[in-house]
Order: sequence, then C-alpha cells, then structure tokens
Amino acid sequence: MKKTFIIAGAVILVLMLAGLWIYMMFFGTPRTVEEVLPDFALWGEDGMPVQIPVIAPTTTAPLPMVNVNEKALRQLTTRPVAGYREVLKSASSTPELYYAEVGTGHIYSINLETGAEVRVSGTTIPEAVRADFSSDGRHVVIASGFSQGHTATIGELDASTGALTEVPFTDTLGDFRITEGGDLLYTHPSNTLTGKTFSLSNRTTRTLFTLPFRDATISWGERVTDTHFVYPRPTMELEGFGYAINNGGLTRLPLSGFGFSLFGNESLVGANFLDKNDFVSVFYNRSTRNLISSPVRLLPEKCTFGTKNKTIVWCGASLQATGFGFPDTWYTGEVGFSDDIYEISLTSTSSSLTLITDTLIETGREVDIVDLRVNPTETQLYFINKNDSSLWAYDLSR
Amino acid sequence: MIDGMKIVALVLFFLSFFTAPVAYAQVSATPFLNQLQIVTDPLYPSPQSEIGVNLNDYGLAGAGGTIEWVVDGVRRSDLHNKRSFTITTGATGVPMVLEAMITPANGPRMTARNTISPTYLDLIIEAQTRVPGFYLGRALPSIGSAVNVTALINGTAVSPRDLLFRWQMNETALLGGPVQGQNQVTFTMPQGGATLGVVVERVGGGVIASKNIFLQNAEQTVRFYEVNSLYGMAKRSAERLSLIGNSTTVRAEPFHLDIRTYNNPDIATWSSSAITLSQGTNPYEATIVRQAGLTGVGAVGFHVRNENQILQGSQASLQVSY
Repeated sequence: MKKTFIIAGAVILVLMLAGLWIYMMFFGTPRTVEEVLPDFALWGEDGMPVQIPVIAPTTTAPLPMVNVNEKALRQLTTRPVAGYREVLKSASSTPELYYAEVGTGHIYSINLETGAEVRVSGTTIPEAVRADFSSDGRHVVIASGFSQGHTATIGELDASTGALTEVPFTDTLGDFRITEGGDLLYTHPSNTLTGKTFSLSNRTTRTLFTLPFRDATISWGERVTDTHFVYPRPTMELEGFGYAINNGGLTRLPLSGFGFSLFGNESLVGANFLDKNDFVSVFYNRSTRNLISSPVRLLPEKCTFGTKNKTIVWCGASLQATGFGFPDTWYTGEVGFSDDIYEISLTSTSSSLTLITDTLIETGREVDIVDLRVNPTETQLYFINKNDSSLWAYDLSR
Repeated sequence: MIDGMKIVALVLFFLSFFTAPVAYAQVSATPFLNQLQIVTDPLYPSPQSEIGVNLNDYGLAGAGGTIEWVVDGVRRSDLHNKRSFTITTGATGVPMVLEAMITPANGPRMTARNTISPTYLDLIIEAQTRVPGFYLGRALPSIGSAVNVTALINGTAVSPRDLLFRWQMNETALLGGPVQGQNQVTFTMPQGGATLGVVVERVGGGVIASKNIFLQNAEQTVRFYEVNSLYGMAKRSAERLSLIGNSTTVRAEPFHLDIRTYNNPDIATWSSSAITLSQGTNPYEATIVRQAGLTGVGAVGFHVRNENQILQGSQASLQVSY
C-alpha cells in the first residue's frame, strides 16, 4: 500500500513537471514573477489575473534643435536646401530662417533664437531644385524639374496650419528672386529672354525688358525699379559683356572679357574676367567710372553686397589657383573650392580686405560657398555648401 | 547752246580748284584717297579703351616739318612732333576729335582731322549644343552644330534697324551680302573653326564698327554624376565612385554635343567591366548593381555619337570600387 502511494505520487509529480515543460515551451520564459502568476491565477485579490498597467508613449516628439549659439560659423541643416530666406512675420516677431528641401519642396523653419526647427509645410513639390521666399514668409516660389526647363510653383503659405495654397502661374522660370517688396522678378525663356515681374499681392504680371539673346544670367536688383545687370553665361572660351538694364533699356558697361561674370547694385559693380591669361576681379564705380582692383576673386554666386551699407561686400573666396578651364570646370563640378569668408570695404578709389573666417580650420571640411546672402540687419551671413547643398550661417555680430 | 554749255563746263572746272583743297583737308578714315591721314588702331575703337593713333603721310609733303596735335580742341604740347602715340577714348558715344597740323620747312601748313566715335560692337555667341540644366556656363559650338550670333551695338544713336550688317564666315558672305537691320545670323560650325566678321554701316554710307573673331570647335565631353531618386543629381561630377550600398544610379551628361545628336543619338551605349549594369528607358542613365559577395574595382563606360557626323560624339569611363 505504501509503495502504491509513492508510485502514484511520483507519477503525479512527473505529469506536473511534463505539463510545466510543455507550458514553458509554448509560452516562453517569464521575465518577471508578475508575468508568471496571472497565467496560473494563483494570486490577486479576487483570483483574477493581475492587470499590468500599459504606459502609453508620448505623442509629441521633442523638436529637433539646431545649435544656433555655439559658434559663429555653424551648419544649420543636413538636408539639402533648394533655397532659403530669413523672414520676419511681423515687426515684433522673432526672425526665422525658412528653407525648402531639395527634391521634396518641404518647407522648414528654424527659430534663430531657440534653434527649434519645425516643418512648416509638408506639401510635396517633386524635383524641387530652387526656391525663394518673401521677406514676411507668406509666399514661396519653388522651381522644379531636374532636367532642362523649370516649372514654377508659387504658393501662399499659412505657417500656422502648414497649408500651401497654390497661386495660379504658368510661365516657365529662368533666374528668379523675390524682392523685399514682395514682387517676383524672373526671366522667361522662349525664343528670346524676357524679364518679368509678378506681384505676389495683386497677382499681375508685367514685362520689364526683352533681351536679344537667350543664354544670359541676370543679377537682379533689390527692387523692381532698381538697375538689373545681365551678361551672357560665362565661359572661358567666349567673350562676355556686361550690361545694365534700366527702364527696359540695355546699356553697355565698360566691362568685358573671357569667362566674364558680374553682380552689382545701384552704385557698384563687381566683375571677374580673364585678362592676359589670368583672372582678375574689379569693382566698377558707376558714378565716377573708376575701376578698383579686388583683392579676392569675385563670383556672383559667392558674393553679396551689404543691405544697409552698400559699399561693403562679403565674398566666399579661395586663394587656391583656379586651374585651366575655370569657370567652366567649376560649373561642371569637376573642381571645387574650399572657401573662406572675406569682407571687402570699398572707397571711391580703393578696397580693403578682412578675413572673416577660415572655414577649413573652423569646420575641418571643405565648404564651397554658393548663394551667399546677408540678412537685412547685416548681423548674419547665410550660404549653401555646394558639395552637399547644406545650409550654413555665420554670425557677424560676434 | 553749245557755247553756253562750254561756259558752264569751264566755270565748273575752275570752281573745282577752289573746293578741292578744302575737301582735301577734311580727311576720312578711308585709306588710299588722301595723302595725310590720322589712322587709329583699332580702326573702330571701343569706349574707354586705349588706342594707337598714327599720322600717315603718304605724300611725304610734311617731311622735316613740325607736327602739332589738338585733341578735342585742346593743344597737346606733350605730343609735339610725334607721329604716333596712345590715347584713351571717351565714354560710349562721346566723340573725340583729333587734329594734326604739319608745318613743313617749305610749303603750306597741312591739316588732318579724324573724329572718333567710340562704339561697342559685341558679338554674342549662342550655340545649339546641349549642356545640363544645372550648368551655369554657356553651351559652346562644336563641329556641325548650329550657332546663333547676335551683334549688339552701343554708342550710336542710330537704331540697329536702320543699320546695314555685312556678315562673313571664313570666305563666305552670309545672307548673300549686307542686309539692313539684320543683327542676328545663324550658321553651321565647319571643321577647323570659323572666322566670323561683321561690318556695321550706316544706310547712307560710312562704317560705324567692325569686328572679327575666331570660333573654335569645342571638345565634347561626357561627365558622370550620381543620381539620387529623391534629391536629383549630385553637383560634383565623379571620376571615381565607391559603391557603398547595393546599387547606385549614375547619369552620363554630354557637354557641348549638338542638341540634335543628344536627342537622337545613333550610338548611346554603356559598357562595363567587372560591374553589373542595368538600364531603364533613359539612355543616359544606368544603375550599377553590386554583385553579392564580390569586391574589387571595375569600370563603367559611356559612348554617344552621331554616325553621320562622326566627330559629333564623345566617350568617357568611370572607375567603380565595390
């Protein structure tokens, strides 16, 4: 009898162990005691399995922060940027930096005081290549098309809702920019090249000038009524010439040469061209007709005149030799530059040069500066690095 | 009646003796007609440019005499007895009057005069060749390509519509001869380049400006660019590529290829060694695919050409590390 009980107990034990083994095989190793107990319902006030509280994830991710305060020279984006503008939505608001992303056309804003970056518009404009914004941030113009010929999307932006309302516009765009006054200046390529303006407020178009040649680059003035400058697209193989456009008329400037390019304002013109087998850069004073030699290479893509002080020029420039084939080789992307930032002060007869920053020493990277701009208060310089289309800033107030 | 006509003829004959010296002194820039001439180099100067001024005395009547110069009514003592010197012209359209007075040892004083009206004559060359959309430079002419030329003239009050343009390319007169208002011309680039010239004249006569330039055929090239499906083409061209992921797309961009050849190439082929390529519908784009488990270096080539104009074409290769 005793033997029977022992055998029975052993069999029961074996069966329990087998059941436990089967359970663990199908339901895994419990990580905590609480995970085991509910399955057996051995504990709990009313014998029901203990409910494990579920912690819901937070719905608001922290905003990406751009470091706007660490150094004078800083990279603001890793996204490639099609265009940007420092905007001021109202007189009392904090300045923000709006930029559009290449390829998507999504619009982002960087708060220049806190560094917080938010996406303002998620409207996708495929193959976005270039963009510009109005100074109040209400309008954006995005040129799209990775191939030849850019179609334009003009949008009215509601920053609070992120809605981008398209403004009817059918012209194809060449060079364009939005003035401080909220007018779009652009060239319309057809059999000739026509310069036009489109008012973003009342949505009317007006022709400013018609050029007798098509392969032209425009350096736009700050306002519709300002002098604009035009020159045939640069190449070291063919001669180029500089012209000023006033009231629809073309006036030849005494500036020309191979590999020719220029930029200017109402009183000064900066030009770069080949002279006796070497590239020279000069400033031309339109009032005195004096030529002032520039200590650094002036390229329109890398230079900007001051917005308040018109005799100050900031340039991204490299002291390295251009090499044979410049500027064609730079435009093809065959060569690049590691640019420093310089400030050039001009008088009626001379120029003086100040090195603002050596970007290679500051960042450890080669920065090929394009689309250099200064903000309206002349406290910030912004530019795009051609190598990766990232957006950068330099704080001039430090 | 015949006697009356004889009298008229005699009067005209004697009158010519009085008017000839006056006309003789008013020289123009046309050579071989006057013995005393002021000639500039270049013949039709640009504004605000340094020019050479030469006093040509073919008759040698002034030999041994003194030479005085007057520029814009101001006697220039620094140019005393000089037969040649350099001077800077004025602004666009502002004329400069040069006068030279030779007082020979024996004989009457002679005067030569030349009025320079500095004018810009710009020839803007636009070739119908293809460059990528991101390229900020100008397309260059290549052999067999069409070239548009526009002449822009600044410094004359006369509208281009009222001017005669005489175009010449190498030995050929374009448009059959001078044409009024025709400041644009199109021609096909010949082998060996083209010497292009234009002379701009007033309809009533008198050359305003002229210019000659030499255009050489640009070498067509192919450059490779990595393509990102979202962000588009990279801005730096690649000569070597490191394949990081499983595949990458590259585009071959020809530069200065005749646009007709680009749009309809007879040959547009990719080649590869030790690399797997896949192509889509765009003949200028190919995807490089990594072969699983393999590493090494390979090459990708692209060749585009017009079989009818064999010099219209180019090829290049790209080294790929994978």
